[in-house]
Amino acid sequence: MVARSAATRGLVALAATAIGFAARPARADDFLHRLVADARARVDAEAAAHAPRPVPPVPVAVKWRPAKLTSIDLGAPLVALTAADLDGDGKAELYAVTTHDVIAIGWRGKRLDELARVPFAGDVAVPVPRDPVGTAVADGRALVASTSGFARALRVTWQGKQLVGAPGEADFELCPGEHAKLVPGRDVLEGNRYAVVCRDLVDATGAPLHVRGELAATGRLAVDAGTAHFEVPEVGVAFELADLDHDGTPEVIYAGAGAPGDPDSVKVVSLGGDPRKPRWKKPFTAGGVAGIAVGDLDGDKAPEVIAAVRLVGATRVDLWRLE
Amino acid sequence: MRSLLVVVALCAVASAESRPHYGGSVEGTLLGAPVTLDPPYARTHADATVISLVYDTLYRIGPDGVPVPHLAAALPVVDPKLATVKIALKKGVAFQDGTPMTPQDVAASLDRARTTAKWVLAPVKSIAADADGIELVLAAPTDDLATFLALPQTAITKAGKSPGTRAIGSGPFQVVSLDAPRHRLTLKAFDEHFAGRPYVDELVLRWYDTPDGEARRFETGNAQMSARGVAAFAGGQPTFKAEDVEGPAALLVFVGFGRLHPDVLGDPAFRHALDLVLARSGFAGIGWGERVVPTRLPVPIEAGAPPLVARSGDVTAATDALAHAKAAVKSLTLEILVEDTRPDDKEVAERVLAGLDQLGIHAKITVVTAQVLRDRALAGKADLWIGQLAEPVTAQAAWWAAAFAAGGDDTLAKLGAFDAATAAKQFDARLPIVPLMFRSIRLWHRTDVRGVSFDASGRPCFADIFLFGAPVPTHGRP
Repeated sequence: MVARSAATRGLVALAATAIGFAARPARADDFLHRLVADARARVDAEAAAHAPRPVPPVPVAVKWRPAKLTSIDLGAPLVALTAADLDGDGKAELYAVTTHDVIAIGWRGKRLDELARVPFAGDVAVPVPRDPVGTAVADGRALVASTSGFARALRVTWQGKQLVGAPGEADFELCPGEHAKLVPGRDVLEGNRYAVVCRDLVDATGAPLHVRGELAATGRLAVDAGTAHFEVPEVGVAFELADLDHDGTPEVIYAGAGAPGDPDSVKVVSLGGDPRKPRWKKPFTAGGVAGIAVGDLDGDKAPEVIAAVRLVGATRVDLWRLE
Repeated sequence: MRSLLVVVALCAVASAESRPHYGGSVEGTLLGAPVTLDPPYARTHADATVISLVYDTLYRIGPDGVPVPHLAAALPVVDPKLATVKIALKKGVAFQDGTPMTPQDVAASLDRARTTAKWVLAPVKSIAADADGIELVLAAPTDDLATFLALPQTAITKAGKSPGTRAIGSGPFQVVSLDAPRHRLTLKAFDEHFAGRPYVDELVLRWYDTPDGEARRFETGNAQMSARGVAAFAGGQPTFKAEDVEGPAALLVFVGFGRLHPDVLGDPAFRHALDLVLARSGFAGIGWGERVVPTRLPVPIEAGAPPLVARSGDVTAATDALAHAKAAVKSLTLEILVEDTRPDDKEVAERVLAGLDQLGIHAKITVVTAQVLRDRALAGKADLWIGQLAEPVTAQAAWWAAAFAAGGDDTLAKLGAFDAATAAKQFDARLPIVPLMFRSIRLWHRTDVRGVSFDASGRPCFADIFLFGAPVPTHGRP
């Protein structure tokens, strides 16, 4: 993630004000035009002077040591899972979206446990797909969650120690600012897609790298990383994009595209690598992988990869830490 | 282990690592010929299965046996005096012709069910529509309203009318054609079904009037599902690899009584004699290895009935019971009607015939079409007939009510409020039917047919099946 500094936010506000002036009708004397040009020039100069210097990531060795952390009954089927630090404590929480609730999960002492939950509310959606689906997108200090059973999304934030929800848009947020609707009565999004994941990472030089993965209903994951394009076949609906080893090349962590109920696995491949030769693979024979999330849950500055594994349709999930 | 299998086989949300695919056509099976597409007249497993595909009910019975809202927006809300019930309805539900479903459609459908299939809504005095739902006025308090509103007899039709020749419901499938002579019902997916479009585009359901017809069709790869084995001959291999799934033992097979010889058939002494002489253990071998639970009660163990201990027939007690019969039966030859598209029922009838023979009563088996059996049973123009009931396996009140109704006995319906002890006492005294066994349905399916499961009444959830991958040829077969 690339954090915006306070100085940058001020410059952006100044630029917005100037652009607002420019949008007004021009007058005979071009005083305003000159003012805008001057403001723009000053903004550009300030921005250049305050641009964060790229810090190349320092590669780390990832040791894959899968271990089951806990088993939690969510009370309803899981439809999406993500990790984000919404409460600002420097440690990420897991957010499990079920057909009923958004559930925050984090470390409670030495145990990964439910921290709080907030229910979806409002009108139920009609029609709904036969198998429930959902999305979870972290946007700053908020999480926008959607599930196919409810007409509106749920915008979740922490207010003190309380997790609160507010009605969101009447569609599915895929990435911050990017929305789509479900095809009526089906489990696919418009454009014959299952899911989209966007992540802001850095490349090997430390420059910002926006990565976007779009999973087609065919199971083919198309990943755009900057100007590069990659495709990974046979990807299940649970996948995540992250630079786990800090080498500037993102990894795709994904479940298999087998039929619901079949044994599953989690694979890790580097973008550009051969999916037939994954860097790591962990089979799960007693359940399917319903969600994958990456976040620094323990605050040690190294992200953990979490997989949620369950039997088909079950409300109980096993949470596995994979590295 | 058995209960675990059953739970897994119940209709479940298919959400996992990937998602079911849409498209394709599947040929499945019905347990017999469907006689009606008009919900209140549903009697058999086949009727109930087809009606669940074409229409919707206010509630469904979940895997744990508890009713869950379906067309209803929530569970019934009863007033403090237990006199009226309000049920809110989901908005945005459409019939298959595109017209919206209204509270008036729902109220009219339930009112017709109340007056046509009286046992279903016996405690309900009247039903009216309001702005966003319906209101029911109760004649007697009931705890089981949502369960009864999950039964196929209460499915919603347009304006509550009989569908006639063109069945239009709101259910997941639309009827394309019903070809009764060729034993074939063709359905297509209803894209706007409020609870989700089915995964397959087309569903063809067939039924058979020969014992091996269904297995033969599966064996040769022409059908993707079979409820009667994978091959016509023992040890045979189907063209494509198959798996099987078993549902709950929610199908009751029973002997019904007609009125052709009312002095005999209506006499409780004769009915008790028949009940006593039939060795229930003899029914366990019927079928294709499904779970069979012999019974003398019309209520499954899952709904609270005690397990049957004495499974062998008691000829002495039966003979004693028959001695109390008012009319002479031994001069008669009783006719046992069985349906031609339920070959298992013929085996059942043969065992009933054997039991009658032990009592010195002559009988013969007559095979008729489903329609003829229905008509003759309803009109009472029969001696004995082999019938079946399919109710939610844990719903005790529904089983008692359905059993009395199947015997044409309105004693329980007249009581209004349901009481299990009273129902059991009345059943023992009157024996409206003679229950024989509960059995499950076992479905064999090609390995590329996924999501095969059953609802609480043992009906296959055809809307949830989907095709994934390709069929796998059996080793040594093309």
